[in-house]
Amino acid sequence: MSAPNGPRILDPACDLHRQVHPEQVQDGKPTSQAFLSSHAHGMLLSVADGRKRNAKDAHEFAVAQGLATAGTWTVTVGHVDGEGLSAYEDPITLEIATREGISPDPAHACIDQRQDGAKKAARRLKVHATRTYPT
Amino acid sequence: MNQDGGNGFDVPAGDEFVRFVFRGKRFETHELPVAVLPSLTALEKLLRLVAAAKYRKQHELPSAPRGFLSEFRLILAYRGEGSTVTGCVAHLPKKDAGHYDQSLSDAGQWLNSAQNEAEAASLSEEMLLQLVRMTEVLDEDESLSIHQRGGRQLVAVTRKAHDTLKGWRSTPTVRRERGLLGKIVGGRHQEYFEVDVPRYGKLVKFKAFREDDWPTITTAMSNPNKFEVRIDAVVDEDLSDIPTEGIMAHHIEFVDGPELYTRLEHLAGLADGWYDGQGYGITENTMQRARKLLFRLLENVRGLSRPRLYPTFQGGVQMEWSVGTAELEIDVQPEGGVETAVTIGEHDESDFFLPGEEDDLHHWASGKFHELIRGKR
Repeated sequence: MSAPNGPRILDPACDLHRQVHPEQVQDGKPTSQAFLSSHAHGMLLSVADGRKRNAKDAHEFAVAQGLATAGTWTVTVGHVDGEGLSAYEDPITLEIATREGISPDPAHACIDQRQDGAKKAARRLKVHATRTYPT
Repeated sequence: MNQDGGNGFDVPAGDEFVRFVFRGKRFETHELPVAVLPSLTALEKLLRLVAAAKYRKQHELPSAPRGFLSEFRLILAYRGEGSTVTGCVAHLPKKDAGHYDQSLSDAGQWLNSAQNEAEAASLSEEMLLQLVRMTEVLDEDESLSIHQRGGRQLVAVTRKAHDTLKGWRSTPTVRRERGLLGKIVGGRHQEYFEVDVPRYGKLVKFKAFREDDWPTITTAMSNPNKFEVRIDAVVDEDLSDIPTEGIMAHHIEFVDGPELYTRLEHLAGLADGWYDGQGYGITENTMQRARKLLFRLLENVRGLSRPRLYPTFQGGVQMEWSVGTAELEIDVQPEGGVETAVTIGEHDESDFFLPGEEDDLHHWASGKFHELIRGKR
Protein backbone atom coordinates (compact mmCIF):
# COMPACT_ATOMS: atom_id res chain seq x y z
CA MET A 1 0.00 0.00 0.00
CA SER A 2 1.85 3.09 -1.14
CA ALA A 3 -0.89 5.74 -1.17
CA PRO A 4 -4.31 6.13 0.44
CA ASN A 5 -7.11 5.00 -1.83
CA GLY A 6 -9.74 7.42 -0.59
CA PRO A 7 -10.30 11.14 -0.15
CA ARG A 8 -8.83 13.27 2.58
CA ILE A 9 -10.97 13.48 5.72
CA LEU A 10 -11.71 17.13 6.29
CA ASP A 11 -13.97 17.12 9.35
CA PRO A 12 -11.69 18.17 12.25
CA ALA A 13 -14.07 16.58 14.76
CA CYS A 14 -13.81 13.16 13.16
CA ASP A 15 -12.30 10.58 15.52
CA LEU A 16 -9.49 8.34 14.36
CA HIS A 17 -9.08 5.15 16.39
CA ARG A 18 -5.64 3.61 16.66
CA GLN A 19 -5.05 0.09 17.99
CA VAL A 20 -1.94 0.02 20.14
CA HIS A 21 0.14 -3.15 20.40
CA PRO A 22 0.56 -4.47 23.98
CA GLU A 23 4.34 -4.10 23.75
CA GLN A 24 3.80 -0.42 23.06
CA VAL A 25 1.99 0.23 26.31
CA GLN A 26 3.66 0.32 29.67
CA ASP A 27 2.25 1.53 32.94
CA GLY A 28 -0.93 2.35 31.01
CA LYS A 29 0.88 4.76 28.70
CA PRO A 30 1.52 4.26 25.00
CA THR A 31 4.84 5.06 23.39
CA SER A 32 5.08 7.59 20.58
CA GLN A 33 6.18 4.62 18.47
CA ALA A 34 2.54 3.51 18.54
CA PHE A 35 1.69 6.60 16.48
CA LEU A 36 4.51 6.21 14.02
CA SER A 37 4.15 4.17 10.90
CA SER A 38 7.06 2.30 9.36
CA HIS A 39 8.48 1.97 5.88
CA ALA A 40 7.11 -1.57 5.91
CA HIS A 41 3.67 0.05 6.06
CA GLY A 42 4.44 2.74 3.48
CA MET A 43 4.59 5.35 6.29
CA LEU A 44 0.79 5.29 6.42
CA LEU A 45 -0.47 4.85 9.96
CA SER A 46 -3.55 2.63 10.10
CA VAL A 47 -6.54 3.92 12.03
CA ALA A 48 -10.27 3.33 11.99
CA ASP A 49 -12.56 6.07 10.68
CA GLY A 50 -14.65 7.14 13.67
CA ARG A 51 -17.62 7.94 11.45
CA LYS A 52 -17.83 4.30 10.46
CA ARG A 53 -16.66 2.46 13.57
CA ASN A 54 -16.52 3.42 17.25
CA ALA A 55 -13.59 2.77 19.60
CA LYS A 56 -15.03 -0.45 21.02
CA ASP A 57 -15.88 -1.89 17.63
CA ALA A 58 -12.48 -0.89 16.29
CA HIS A 59 -10.83 -2.85 19.07
CA GLU A 60 -13.05 -5.86 18.58
CA PHE A 61 -12.47 -5.78 14.85
CA ALA A 62 -8.69 -5.87 15.40
CA VAL A 63 -8.99 -8.75 17.87
CA ALA A 64 -11.12 -10.64 15.38
CA GLN A 65 -8.35 -10.19 12.81
CA GLY A 66 -5.94 -11.88 15.21
CA LEU A 67 -3.99 -8.68 15.85
CA ALA A 68 -2.48 -8.06 19.28
CA THR A 69 -3.95 -4.92 20.80
CA ALA A 70 -3.93 -3.38 24.25
CA GLY A 71 -6.80 -1.06 23.39
CA THR A 72 -7.95 1.88 21.33
CA TRP A 73 -6.36 5.31 21.55
CA THR A 74 -8.15 8.09 19.74
CA VAL A 75 -7.06 11.33 18.12
CA THR A 76 -9.11 13.64 15.95
CA VAL A 77 -8.56 14.82 12.41
CA GLY A 78 -8.08 18.28 13.94
CA HIS A 79 -5.08 16.95 15.90
CA VAL A 80 -3.68 15.38 12.77
CA ASP A 81 -4.13 18.55 10.71
CA GLY A 82 -2.63 20.58 13.55
CA GLU A 83 0.58 18.59 13.31
CA GLY A 84 0.90 19.21 9.60
CA LEU A 85 -0.31 15.74 8.61
CA SER A 86 -3.38 14.60 6.73
CA ALA A 87 -5.86 11.81 7.36
CA TYR A 88 -7.44 9.88 4.50
CA GLU A 89 -10.16 7.38 4.03
CA ASP A 90 -8.40 4.22 2.98
CA PRO A 91 -10.97 1.42 2.75
CA ILE A 92 -9.62 -2.05 2.20
CA THR A 93 -11.81 -3.25 -0.61
CA LEU A 94 -12.40 -6.87 -1.49
CA GLU A 95 -9.96 -6.50 -4.36
CA ILE A 96 -7.18 -5.08 -2.12
CA ALA A 97 -7.93 -7.63 0.58
CA THR A 98 -7.62 -10.50 -1.87
CA ARG A 99 -4.41 -9.14 -3.35
CA GLU A 100 -2.73 -8.54 0.01
CA GLY A 101 -4.11 -11.50 1.89
CA ILE A 102 -5.90 -9.44 4.52
CA SER A 103 -9.53 -8.89 5.48
CA PRO A 104 -11.73 -6.27 3.86
CA ASP A 105 -12.26 -3.23 6.07
CA PRO A 106 -14.48 -0.42 4.84
CA ALA A 107 -13.68 1.68 7.95
CA HIS A 108 -9.94 1.58 7.40
CA ALA A 109 -8.32 5.01 7.26
CA CYS A 110 -4.78 6.24 7.54
CA ILE A 111 -2.63 9.12 8.67
CA ASP A 112 -0.11 10.04 6.02
CA GLN A 113 3.40 10.24 7.53
CA ARG A 114 5.38 10.16 4.34
CA GLN A 115 6.86 13.61 4.76
CA ASP A 116 9.80 14.66 6.97
CA GLY A 117 9.11 15.12 10.64
CA ALA A 118 7.04 11.98 11.06
CA LYS A 119 8.66 11.16 14.40
CA LYS A 120 7.94 14.59 15.77
CA ALA A 121 4.34 14.28 14.60
CA ALA A 122 4.11 10.89 16.28
CA ARG A 123 5.29 12.39 19.57
CA ARG A 124 2.67 15.09 19.27
CA LEU A 125 -0.07 12.58 18.42
CA LYS A 126 0.85 10.60 21.53
CA VAL A 127 0.29 13.71 23.62
CA HIS A 128 -3.13 14.26 22.01
CA ALA A 129 -4.25 10.62 22.11
CA THR A 130 -6.82 9.49 24.65
CA ARG A 131 -7.55 5.95 25.59
CA THR A 132 -11.13 5.32 24.53
CA TYR A 133 -11.45 1.54 24.83
CA PRO A 134 -11.32 -0.15 27.25
CA THR A 135 -11.56 2.85 29.52
CA MET B 1 64.08 9.82 9.99
CA ASN B 2 64.64 12.65 12.40
CA GLN B 3 67.70 13.14 14.45
CA ASP B 4 67.19 14.43 17.94
CA GLY B 5 69.90 16.82 18.99
CA GLY B 6 72.62 14.45 17.96
CA ASN B 7 71.63 11.98 20.64
CA GLY B 8 71.20 9.18 18.18
CA PHE B 9 67.44 8.97 18.17
CA ASP B 10 66.43 7.33 14.97
CA VAL B 11 62.66 7.28 15.13
CA PRO B 12 60.41 10.13 14.15
CA ALA B 13 59.96 12.31 17.21
CA GLY B 14 56.17 12.07 17.01
CA ASP B 15 56.24 8.29 17.22
CA GLU B 16 58.05 8.15 20.52
CA PHE B 17 55.71 7.05 23.29
CA VAL B 18 58.03 7.00 26.28
CA ARG B 19 61.72 7.62 26.91
CA PHE B 20 63.77 6.27 29.79
CA VAL B 21 66.92 8.15 30.73
CA PHE B 22 69.19 6.24 33.10
CA ARG B 23 71.96 8.11 34.89
CA GLY B 24 74.72 6.82 37.11
CA LYS B 25 78.07 5.05 36.99
CA ARG B 26 76.70 1.93 35.33
CA PHE B 27 75.55 4.03 32.42
CA GLU B 28 78.64 6.17 31.97
CA THR B 29 80.15 3.47 29.76
CA HIS B 30 77.41 4.13 27.24
CA GLU B 31 75.96 0.68 27.54
CA LEU B 32 72.53 -0.53 28.52
CA PRO B 33 72.75 -3.33 31.07
CA VAL B 34 70.09 -5.98 30.42
CA ALA B 35 69.46 -5.93 34.17
CA VAL B 36 67.46 -2.70 33.75
CA LEU B 37 65.14 -4.06 31.07
CA PRO B 38 62.61 -5.36 33.63
CA SER B 39 61.92 -1.73 34.35
CA LEU B 40 60.50 -1.37 30.86
CA THR B 41 58.48 -4.57 30.94
CA ALA B 42 57.07 -3.53 34.31
CA LEU B 43 55.95 -0.23 32.81
CA GLU B 44 54.27 -2.04 29.94
CA LYS B 45 52.33 -4.25 32.37
CA LEU B 46 51.46 -1.30 34.56
CA LEU B 47 50.09 0.70 31.65
CA ARG B 48 47.89 -2.23 30.61
CA LEU B 49 46.47 -2.49 34.12
CA VAL B 50 45.79 1.21 34.49
CA ALA B 51 44.43 1.68 30.97
CA ALA B 52 42.11 -1.30 31.45
CA ALA B 53 40.74 0.27 34.65
CA LYS B 54 40.16 3.52 32.77
CA TYR B 55 38.44 1.72 29.94
CA ARG B 56 36.14 -0.14 32.36
CA LYS B 57 35.27 3.08 34.06
CA GLN B 58 34.57 4.97 30.87
CA HIS B 59 32.48 2.23 29.31
CA GLU B 60 31.02 0.95 32.57
CA LEU B 61 31.94 -2.59 31.70
CA PRO B 62 33.23 -5.28 34.03
CA SER B 63 36.30 -5.84 31.85
CA ALA B 64 38.19 -4.26 28.98
CA PRO B 65 38.01 -6.13 25.66
CA ARG B 66 40.92 -8.46 24.97
CA GLY B 67 42.07 -6.48 21.94
CA PHE B 68 42.37 -3.29 23.97
CA LEU B 69 45.03 -4.98 26.09
CA SER B 70 46.72 -7.31 23.61
CA GLU B 71 47.16 -4.67 20.94
CA PHE B 72 49.23 -2.52 23.28
CA ARG B 73 52.96 -3.26 23.15
CA LEU B 74 56.01 -1.21 23.96
CA ILE B 75 58.77 -1.63 21.44
CA LEU B 76 62.36 -0.80 22.29
CA ALA B 77 63.03 1.34 19.26
CA TYR B 78 66.39 2.90 19.84
CA ARG B 79 69.10 3.66 22.27
CA GLY B 80 70.34 7.17 22.48
CA GLU B 81 73.96 8.15 22.57
CA GLY B 82 75.70 6.91 25.68
CA SER B 83 73.26 4.00 25.97
CA THR B 84 71.58 5.78 28.85
CA VAL B 85 68.68 6.92 26.78
CA THR B 86 66.18 4.25 25.87
CA GLY B 87 63.25 5.17 23.72
CA CYS B 88 60.13 3.16 23.11
CA VAL B 89 57.42 3.44 20.55
CA ALA B 90 54.09 1.88 21.32
CA HIS B 91 51.68 -0.23 19.35
CA LEU B 92 48.37 1.14 20.51
CA PRO B 93 44.85 -0.24 20.19
CA LYS B 94 42.75 1.36 17.47
CA LYS B 95 40.11 2.51 19.93
CA ASP B 96 40.54 4.50 23.15
CA ALA B 97 44.32 4.65 22.75
CA GLY B 98 44.33 7.87 24.76
CA HIS B 99 43.86 5.82 27.92
CA TYR B 100 47.45 4.62 27.54
CA ASP B 101 48.84 8.15 27.40
CA GLN B 102 46.80 9.06 30.47
CA SER B 103 48.01 5.91 32.21
CA LEU B 104 51.59 6.91 31.56
CA SER B 105 50.89 10.29 33.17
CA ASP B 106 49.33 8.53 36.16
CA ALA B 107 52.36 6.29 36.51
CA GLY B 108 54.57 9.38 36.47
CA GLN B 109 52.49 10.97 39.23
CA TRP B 110 52.65 7.87 41.43
CA LEU B 111 56.39 7.60 41.01
CA ASN B 112 56.71 11.26 41.82
CA SER B 113 54.70 10.76 45.03
CA ALA B 114 56.95 7.88 45.95
CA GLN B 115 60.08 9.89 45.25
CA ASN B 116 58.79 12.73 47.43
CA GLU B 117 57.58 10.31 50.10
CA ALA B 118 54.09 11.70 49.68
CA GLU B 119 50.89 9.93 50.67
CA ALA B 120 50.44 6.54 49.06
CA ALA B 121 48.28 6.50 45.95
CA SER B 122 45.27 4.18 45.64
CA LEU B 123 46.71 1.25 43.76
CA SER B 124 45.91 -2.39 43.35
CA GLU B 125 48.46 -4.93 44.48
CA GLU B 126 49.43 -5.71 40.89
CA MET B 127 49.91 -2.04 40.01
CA LEU B 128 52.05 -1.49 43.08
CA LEU B 129 54.13 -4.55 42.24
CA GLN B 130 54.91 -3.19 38.78
CA LEU B 131 55.97 0.18 40.21
CA VAL B 132 58.29 -1.62 42.62
CA ARG B 133 59.77 -3.60 39.72
CA MET B 134 60.27 -0.47 37.68
CA THR B 135 62.40 1.10 40.38
CA GLU B 136 64.19 -1.90 41.84
CA VAL B 137 66.68 -1.92 38.95
CA LEU B 138 68.24 1.28 40.29
CA ASP B 139 71.32 1.22 42.48
CA GLU B 140 72.02 3.84 45.15
CA ASP B 141 73.85 6.29 42.90
CA GLU B 142 71.52 5.99 39.95
CA SER B 143 68.45 7.76 38.70
CA LEU B 144 65.84 7.19 36.08
CA SER B 145 63.87 9.92 34.42
CA ILE B 146 60.84 9.13 32.32
CA HIS B 147 59.71 11.33 29.48
CA GLN B 148 56.50 11.18 27.51
CA ARG B 149 55.68 12.21 23.97
CA GLY B 150 57.30 15.47 23.02
CA GLY B 151 60.13 14.91 25.47
CA ARG B 152 58.37 16.32 28.54
CA GLN B 153 59.83 14.84 31.68
CA LEU B 154 57.21 13.13 33.77
CA VAL B 155 59.32 12.16 36.72
CA ALA B 156 62.87 11.49 37.89
CA VAL B 157 63.27 8.77 40.49
CA THR B 158 66.09 7.29 42.52
CA ARG B 159 66.35 4.28 44.80
CA LYS B 160 64.49 6.37 47.35
CA ALA B 161 61.26 5.97 45.36
CA HIS B 162 61.74 2.22 45.44
CA ASP B 163 62.15 2.24 49.22
CA THR B 164 59.00 4.34 49.59
CA LEU B 165 57.01 2.09 47.27
CA LYS B 166 57.96 -0.95 49.30
CA GLY B 167 56.33 0.72 52.28
CA TRP B 168 53.09 1.44 50.46
CA ARG B 169 50.15 -0.87 50.97
CA SER B 170 47.94 -1.75 48.05
CA THR B 171 44.44 -0.37 48.10
CA PRO B 172 42.04 -3.08 47.05
CA THR B 173 39.26 -0.56 46.79
CA VAL B 174 38.76 2.99 45.67
CA ARG B 175 36.50 5.24 47.67
CA ARG B 176 34.26 7.59 45.77
CA GLU B 177 30.96 9.43 45.73
CA ARG B 178 28.37 7.88 43.44
CA GLY B 179 24.75 6.92 42.99
CA LEU B 180 23.46 3.40 43.52
CA LEU B 181 20.22 1.92 42.31
CA GLY B 182 18.83 -1.03 44.20
CA LYS B 183 16.46 -2.64 46.64
CA ILE B 184 16.82 -2.41 50.40
CA VAL B 185 16.62 -5.97 51.64
CA GLY B 186 17.58 -5.71 55.31
CA GLY B 187 18.47 -3.35 58.10
CA ARG B 188 18.31 -2.48 61.75
CA HIS B 189 17.50 0.91 63.24
CA GLN B 190 20.58 3.00 64.02
CA GLU B 191 22.84 0.16 62.94
CA TYR B 192 22.87 -0.66 59.24
CA PHE B 193 20.93 -1.37 56.08
CA GLU B 194 21.71 -3.59 53.12
CA VAL B 195 20.96 -2.80 49.53
CA ASP B 196 20.81 -5.32 46.74
CA VAL B 197 22.30 -3.76 43.58
CA PRO B 198 21.09 -5.99 40.75
CA ARG B 199 23.26 -4.32 38.15
CA TYR B 200 26.34 -5.77 39.81
CA GLY B 201 24.72 -8.70 41.60
CA LYS B 202 26.09 -7.27 44.84
CA LEU B 203 24.78 -6.73 48.35
CA VAL B 204 26.17 -3.48 49.75
CA LYS B 205 26.01 -2.76 53.46
CA PHE B 206 25.83 0.76 54.90
CA LYS B 207 26.53 1.37 58.56
CA ALA B 208 26.32 5.13 58.28
CA PHE B 209 23.25 6.96 57.05
CA ARG B 210 21.06 9.89 58.01
CA GLU B 211 18.51 9.25 60.72
CA ASP B 212 15.98 11.17 58.59
CA ASP B 213 16.24 8.45 55.95
CA TRP B 214 15.20 5.64 58.29
CA PRO B 215 11.45 5.90 57.40
CA THR B 216 12.38 5.58 53.72
CA ILE B 217 14.54 2.59 54.51
CA THR B 218 11.81 0.78 56.46
CA THR B 219 9.23 1.41 53.74
CA ALA B 220 11.64 0.21 51.06
CA MET B 221 12.47 -2.85 53.13
CA SER B 222 8.80 -3.73 53.54
CA ASN B 223 8.47 -4.47 49.82
CA PRO B 224 11.80 -4.39 47.99
CA ASN B 225 10.26 -5.27 44.64
CA LYS B 226 7.92 -2.32 44.81
CA PHE B 227 10.14 0.32 46.37
CA GLU B 228 13.35 0.58 44.47
CA VAL B 229 15.70 3.25 45.80
CA ARG B 230 18.45 5.48 44.56
CA ILE B 231 21.16 6.26 47.06
CA ASP B 232 23.70 9.08 46.93
CA ALA B 233 26.60 7.65 48.82
CA VAL B 234 30.27 7.30 49.44
CA VAL B 235 31.21 3.73 48.62
CA ASP B 236 34.30 1.61 48.31
CA GLU B 237 34.67 0.04 44.88
CA ASP B 238 37.02 -2.54 43.57
CA LEU B 239 39.11 -1.59 40.58
CA SER B 240 36.32 -2.69 38.25
CA ASP B 241 34.16 0.04 39.82
CA ILE B 242 31.95 -2.55 41.46
CA PRO B 243 30.76 -1.36 44.87
CA THR B 244 32.05 -3.49 47.72
CA GLU B 245 31.09 -1.55 50.81
CA GLY B 246 28.87 1.37 51.66
CA ILE B 247 30.62 4.03 53.69
CA MET B 248 28.00 6.75 54.07
CA ALA B 249 24.54 7.12 52.53
CA HIS B 250 23.83 10.85 52.17
CA HIS B 251 20.44 10.68 50.56
CA ILE B 252 17.93 7.93 49.86
CA GLU B 253 14.90 8.33 47.63
CA PHE B 254 12.30 6.10 46.04
CA VAL B 255 12.57 5.67 42.32
CA ASP B 256 9.04 5.76 40.99
CA GLY B 257 8.01 4.15 37.78
CA PRO B 258 7.52 0.74 36.28
CA GLU B 259 9.59 -2.22 37.33
CA LEU B 260 12.87 -2.09 35.51
CA TYR B 261 14.70 -5.39 35.55
CA THR B 262 11.76 -7.57 34.56
CA ARG B 263 10.99 -5.22 31.70
CA LEU B 264 14.57 -5.18 30.45
CA GLU B 265 14.65 -8.95 30.55
CA HIS B 266 11.37 -9.08 28.66
CA LEU B 267 12.60 -6.73 25.92
CA ALA B 268 15.81 -8.74 25.52
CA GLY B 269 13.68 -11.83 24.90
CA LEU B 270 11.56 -10.36 22.09
CA ALA B 271 12.10 -12.28 18.88
CA ASP B 272 11.84 -11.04 15.30
CA GLY B 273 8.16 -10.76 14.40
CA TRP B 274 7.04 -9.55 17.84
CA TYR B 275 4.74 -6.99 16.18
CA ASP B 276 2.07 -9.23 14.64
CA GLY B 277 4.66 -11.09 12.61
CA GLN B 278 6.72 -7.99 11.87
CA GLY B 279 9.16 -5.88 13.90
CA TYR B 280 12.75 -6.80 14.69
CA GLY B 281 14.00 -8.31 17.93
CA ILE B 282 16.57 -6.36 19.94
CA THR B 283 20.17 -7.53 19.70
CA GLU B 284 22.26 -8.02 22.83
CA ASN B 285 24.50 -5.19 21.71
CA THR B 286 21.58 -2.76 21.53
CA MET B 287 20.27 -3.98 24.89
CA GLN B 288 23.69 -3.48 26.45
CA ARG B 289 23.94 0.08 25.13
CA ALA B 290 20.46 0.86 26.42
CA ARG B 291 21.17 -0.62 29.87
CA LYS B 292 24.45 1.23 30.19
CA LEU B 293 22.91 4.57 29.31
CA LEU B 294 19.88 3.99 31.51
CA PHE B 295 21.75 2.94 34.64
CA ARG B 296 24.24 5.72 34.28
CA LEU B 297 21.38 8.23 34.23
CA LEU B 298 19.41 6.64 37.04
CA GLU B 299 22.44 6.46 39.28
CA ASN B 300 23.50 10.01 38.64
CA VAL B 301 20.33 12.08 38.38
CA ARG B 302 18.64 12.73 41.69
CA GLY B 303 14.86 12.63 41.46
CA LEU B 304 14.78 10.75 38.16
CA SER B 305 12.08 8.11 37.88
CA ARG B 306 12.42 4.80 36.10
CA PRO B 307 11.41 5.20 32.46
CA ARG B 308 8.83 3.31 30.53
CA LEU B 309 10.67 1.02 28.13
CA TYR B 310 9.43 -0.02 24.71
CA PRO B 311 10.78 -1.97 21.77
CA THR B 312 10.85 -0.14 18.46
CA PHE B 313 9.75 -1.68 15.20
CA GLN B 314 13.34 -1.49 13.91
CA GLY B 315 14.87 -3.39 16.86
CA GLY B 316 15.74 -0.47 19.11
CA VAL B 317 14.87 0.41 22.67
CA GLN B 318 12.88 3.54 23.41
CA MET B 319 12.89 5.01 26.91
CA GLU B 320 10.22 7.53 27.83
CA TRP B 321 9.88 9.70 30.89
CA SER B 322 7.10 12.05 31.92
CA VAL B 323 8.51 14.85 34.07
CA GLY B 324 5.82 17.35 34.98
CA THR B 325 4.29 18.40 31.69
CA ALA B 326 7.35 17.35 29.72
CA GLU B 327 7.84 14.12 27.80
CA LEU B 328 11.42 13.02 27.27
CA GLU B 329 12.36 10.22 24.90
CA ILE B 330 15.63 8.44 24.25
CA ASP B 331 15.61 6.04 21.31
CA VAL B 332 18.59 3.69 21.32
CA GLN B 333 18.74 2.61 17.71
CA PRO B 334 20.09 -0.71 16.48
CA GLU B 335 22.48 0.95 14.03
CA GLY B 336 24.36 2.56 16.93
CA GLY B 337 22.94 6.08 17.09
CA VAL B 338 20.70 7.53 19.76
CA GLU B 339 17.88 9.97 19.09
CA THR B 340 16.57 12.16 21.87
CA ALA B 341 13.48 14.31 22.04
CA VAL B 342 11.78 16.60 24.52
CA THR B 343 8.17 17.64 24.13
CA ILE B 344 6.68 20.32 26.36
CA GLY B 345 3.28 21.56 25.22
CA GLU B 346 3.76 22.87 21.69
CA HIS B 347 7.54 22.88 22.06
CA ASP B 348 9.37 19.92 20.55
CA GLU B 349 13.11 19.56 20.18
CA SER B 350 15.13 16.57 19.09
CA ASP B 351 18.78 15.68 18.74
CA PHE B 352 20.88 12.80 17.47
CA PHE B 353 24.04 11.33 18.94
CA LEU B 354 26.43 9.17 16.96
CA PRO B 355 28.24 6.11 18.30
CA GLY B 356 31.17 7.34 20.36
CA GLU B 357 29.26 10.35 21.65
CA GLU B 358 27.92 8.54 24.73
CA ASP B 359 29.50 11.01 27.14
CA ASP B 360 27.94 13.93 25.27
CA LEU B 361 24.61 12.14 25.33
CA HIS B 362 24.85 11.49 29.06
CA HIS B 363 25.82 15.10 29.65
CA TRP B 364 22.91 16.35 27.56
CA ALA B 365 20.36 14.02 29.13
CA SER B 366 21.43 14.53 32.74
CA GLY B 367 21.45 18.29 32.19
CA LYS B 368 17.99 18.18 30.66
CA PHE B 369 16.63 16.02 33.47
CA HIS B 370 18.10 18.27 36.15
CA GLU B 371 16.46 21.23 34.44
CA LEU B 372 13.07 19.51 34.09
CA ILE B 373 13.09 18.06 37.61
CA ARG B 374 14.03 21.41 39.10
CA GLY B 375 11.24 23.03 37.09
CA LYS B 376 8.76 20.48 38.38
CA ARG B 377 9.70 21.25 41.97
